[in-house]
Amino acid sequence: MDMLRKRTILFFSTVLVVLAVVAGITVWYKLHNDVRQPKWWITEPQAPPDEFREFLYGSVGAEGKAGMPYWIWLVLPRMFHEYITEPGGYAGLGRPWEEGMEMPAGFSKKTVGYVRVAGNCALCHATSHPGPFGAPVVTVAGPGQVTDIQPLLSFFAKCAQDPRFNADEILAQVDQVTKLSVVDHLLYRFVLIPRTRQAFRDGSLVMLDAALQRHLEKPHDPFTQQHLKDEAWLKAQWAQTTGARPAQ
Amino acid sequence: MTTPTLSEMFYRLWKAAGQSRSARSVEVFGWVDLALGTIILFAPYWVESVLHLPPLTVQGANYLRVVGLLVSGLGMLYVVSGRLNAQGFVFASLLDRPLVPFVMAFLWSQDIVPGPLALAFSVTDFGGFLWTLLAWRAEVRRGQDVERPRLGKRLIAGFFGFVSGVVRNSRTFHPDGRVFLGTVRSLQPADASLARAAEQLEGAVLLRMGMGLMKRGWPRWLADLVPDAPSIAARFYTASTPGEVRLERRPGEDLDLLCTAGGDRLWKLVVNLATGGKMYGLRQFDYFQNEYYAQVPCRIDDGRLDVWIRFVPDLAASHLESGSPEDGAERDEDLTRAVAGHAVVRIEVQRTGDADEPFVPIAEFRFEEEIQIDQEALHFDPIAGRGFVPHGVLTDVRRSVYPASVQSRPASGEERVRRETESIARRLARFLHQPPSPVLAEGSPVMNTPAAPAVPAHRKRRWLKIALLAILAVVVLFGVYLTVRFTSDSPDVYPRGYDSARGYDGEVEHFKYGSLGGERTLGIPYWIWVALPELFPEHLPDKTRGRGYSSFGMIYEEGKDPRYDLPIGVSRRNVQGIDRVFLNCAACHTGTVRKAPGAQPQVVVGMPANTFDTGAWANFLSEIARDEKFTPERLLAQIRLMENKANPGRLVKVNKLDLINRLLLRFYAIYVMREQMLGLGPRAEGLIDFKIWGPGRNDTFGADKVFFRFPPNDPNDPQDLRESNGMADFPSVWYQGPRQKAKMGLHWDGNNDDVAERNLNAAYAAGVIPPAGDFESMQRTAKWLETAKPPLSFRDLFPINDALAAQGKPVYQHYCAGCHGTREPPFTGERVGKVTPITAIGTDPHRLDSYTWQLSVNLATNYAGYEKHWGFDKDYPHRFLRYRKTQGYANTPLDGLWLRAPYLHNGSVLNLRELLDPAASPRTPVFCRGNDVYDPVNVGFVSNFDPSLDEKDQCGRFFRFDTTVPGNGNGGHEGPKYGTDLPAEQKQALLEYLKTF
Repeated sequence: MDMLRKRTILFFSTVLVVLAVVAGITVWYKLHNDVRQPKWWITEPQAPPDEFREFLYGSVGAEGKAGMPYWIWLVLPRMFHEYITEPGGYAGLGRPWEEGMEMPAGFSKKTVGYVRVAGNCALCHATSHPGPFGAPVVTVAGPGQVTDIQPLLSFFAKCAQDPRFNADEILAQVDQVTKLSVVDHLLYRFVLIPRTRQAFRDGSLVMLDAALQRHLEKPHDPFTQQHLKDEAWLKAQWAQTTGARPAQ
Repeated sequence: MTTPTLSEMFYRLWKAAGQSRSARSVEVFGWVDLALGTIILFAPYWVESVLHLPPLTVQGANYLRVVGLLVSGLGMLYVVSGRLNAQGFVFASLLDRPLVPFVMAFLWSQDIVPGPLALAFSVTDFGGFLWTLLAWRAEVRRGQDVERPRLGKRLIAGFFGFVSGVVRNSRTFHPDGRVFLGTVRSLQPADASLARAAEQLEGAVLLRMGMGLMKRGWPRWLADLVPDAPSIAARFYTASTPGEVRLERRPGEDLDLLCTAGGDRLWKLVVNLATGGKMYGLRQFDYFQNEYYAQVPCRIDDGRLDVWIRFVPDLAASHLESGSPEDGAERDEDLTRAVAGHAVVRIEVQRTGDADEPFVPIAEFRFEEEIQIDQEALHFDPIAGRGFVPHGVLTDVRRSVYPASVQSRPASGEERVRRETESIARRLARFLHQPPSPVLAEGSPVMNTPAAPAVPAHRKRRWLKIALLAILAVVVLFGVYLTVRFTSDSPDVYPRGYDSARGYDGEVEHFKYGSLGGERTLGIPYWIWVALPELFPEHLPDKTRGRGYSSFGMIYEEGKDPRYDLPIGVSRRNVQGIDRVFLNCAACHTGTVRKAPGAQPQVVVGMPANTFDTGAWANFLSEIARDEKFTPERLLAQIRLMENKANPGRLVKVNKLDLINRLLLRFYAIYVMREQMLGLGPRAEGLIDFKIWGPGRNDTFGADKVFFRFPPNDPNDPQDLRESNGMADFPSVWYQGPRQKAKMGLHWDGNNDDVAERNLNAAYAAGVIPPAGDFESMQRTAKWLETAKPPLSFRDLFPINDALAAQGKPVYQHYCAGCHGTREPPFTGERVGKVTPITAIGTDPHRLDSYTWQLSVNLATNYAGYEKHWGFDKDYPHRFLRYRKTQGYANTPLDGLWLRAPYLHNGSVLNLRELLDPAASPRTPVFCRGNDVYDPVNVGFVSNFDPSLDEKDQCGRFFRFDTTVPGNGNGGHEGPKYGTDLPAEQKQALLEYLKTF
């Protein structure tokens, strides 16, 4: 009898442990699995490595803490177009945007569990000027010359205040552009959408992680994080691009 | 055999006594017929809709009513005969009803009775026949009818059986008691009837004194609250040997009477017990201070008298000290003493009908001795005996309940002990497996024999298991069916291959009718698609029914019926069990040409849809959504009308709507469709205006701006005005391979050089958003388009002066070939596919300006993030990479040039001859578009413009194209470089050469 009971307990605890491990792996995979950015997310598929593009679209690691779910990021300008007075989605919010790139400069797309979008250096330190064929050319902006990100942040804030920022309406829009799996659907419905909305409303970290945020507030303080110590490169780039810059 | 009176017959009809099962089946069938007939009589149109009959004329409906009258009359005959248990009629119906299916089949084949009705009658009649037949045979097998109690009684009996067998493992009431023997003697009542009855009671009596409800296992407070109700059960019998104990009732000979203290009627007893037993003289701890009532009326003396019976202890005769016992133990001691003193109990009766009638003592019984027997084996049957006939509702119920309880509970004390330790599940299983209990009958000792032959457990309730399994199977099958149905997704497929005999080319058919997947999102149910032009002719451009969508310029091929068949460019796919249709590539890229006004139009795949007015069509859809006729009722009525006009020669084979689809449309799909169509207008407002489109054109990138929800254009903002109107002609789509290979600028302004991206984006117009696309199907079309060439040449319809054309060739080489390339693929030329700056070409800039850089960057998000390769041969780059804002219009190859009139990106130049003239010469300022009659002299379509009429009538049914409207400018592509200054004869030669393209 005792033997039997012991076996039963052993069996059920094994099952529990296995289930817990599977659940843990699933949660880690769906929420925390940090995947390197594929090259073609940053440049074009066949293009050679490109430091400049790396600067514009490469991750500085803000996604984990402040990344916003990609599909929400994608549909927001279409859903809440009333809050953008100029045509062009994110371009209408003053974001410099290269043709043929799926997102404006300063946004980096990275998979951390799910695909997320966060800001990088170029969010402020990139700008654009008119190009030869009417579309703007994106360049690095120098220190002291930064792109105003307030319209972008206040757009997000307005979206989060809007009652349409709910799982039903956002997923209806997402379903117009992609086919999420059942699991991802549930993830968006019950975790990502409410969490993102809450983050916007609480003013917690979205787009900018703590280091970027501190840099935004105190631009002259030294960076604390390794990946943000590229100031020298930035200055070099700026020197290069200003040299090539057409007179305005 | 005597003839009964009519009133007797009515009585028998009312009572339906002794009805056999076969007769009952006939009766039920009669009721069904009666109901059917009545429905047909009063609601013939409803019947028509339910059975999908062809639409009824008034006369037809009246005939149907007569049928209904006949059917209901038949039903009445069946009902009456069934209730009267008319064996002859039942037999006649067995001969008659199996014939019905054959008769119906014949009538149906002769088109006398509609199919569904014939089927309905066949099924009901033959089913009824089978039922009666089976019932009859079962009766014959069984030999006699076994009475089964009615459902209510069965339920009560089941409850008591459950309580005694499963819950209590004993009698439901009075589980514990003591048994005594006694003697009965008549008190010689004065009334003769009573005296006779009393006499019948004389003899021995077996008495069981019970202590009421069993409270074992009850909580103390509850047991204290509910009082005991002492009872006396008595079996009156005549002992065959002195001192005989009659443990089993002898039917007919013995009488069992059950009397309980606490109220002379059952309801009083129940109320009394429920309220603590304070009323009706209940003394729970003293058997001899109570009056025991039988609670059921009893006929005595051969039914001459009806009485209530009670037992009253005769305190005086018993010489009992009136002690007052306080608990169960004292109560039993008192009883022991009383029995030892041979206590006497009187049997008293009261006439029924008046509660004030006195109780008359008729007999008395005397306790003789206590006996020890197995009480579980002892049971009392509350039915007639010794001339006492209990009756009434309670008796009726008891006749079912007692056997059920006896059957469920242990048959002996030994077994009761054994069952005490059983689990509830065991007891429940036994209870569920026991055969149905019989009903107590006066003459048969059913109680004392096993009620039914012992049947192995697995065979008991077999029918129940089979029925449950069948239900389960049906539910599962239906679930599977619904899953398959609602996940179905199957397009109409056009097999590959070429069959010259039929003139069938799989790839061409696929281009014309193959699905791209747009039906999954915007699909219009097929039946609604065909019903719309019939139901809303007033919204059609030509306001005429019966022509389908041809008034929008959609093309129905020769031999097709526009009311039912699909036009070119409309594909069909079964999505979620509904056939849905929507557009494909061919809608905008297939046109027609006619040699002369009366000639048969020739369909040319791949040429611009010169007749199709997409704007008017979109406008039609958004207008009808606002029409009050757009209701599920009207649409479904129209659909039914059309479904019934059978058209066997139809090329598109479609299924009628079945019940599920009808319900789906009725309560869901039509409302959703209406929402979608209503949303179309407001979303596009300020960005595109369907009304100015006209045939052969659309606002390509205006639609993209709507998709990205760009803000509406401000009519007061000059920049917005400039960018607001991107009207452009549909292009031809042949020879995509050479274009891709040379990376030519696609779209009029050359804003993309990747054919795949261009295709995917163009498919948005056919409802193909990324999650909906059928990319394999799309790739099949794309692949075919790589090498598709114009299927019809100028020479096929009209003669060409080859000598003159030969003179034109060098002119072309000199002036045109640099930009437009060679005549044949690969269309080489130094600037082919390149963008000529707007400043150089000078054509209308609206189309160019409508494609803004903001749109260009947003277009890169189409298909972004979607990690699939879409069936492309290379891994798809997951986003559009090649959209670029340009500052001019692209130089295109001139394949099939003659079919691409009118010319320039906005179709503003009527024909090729005028394109070789300067704009000021002048090119025709106002002309009509949409005609497919060809003008071989000037190389373009005939205009039919009549300036003498009012502006709105100048073009008749065609579209009035005014080149002074913004976006329609016909300037540009002129000057010495463009050959507009050439001498007339060179122009003529060039024109002749261009005919050969």
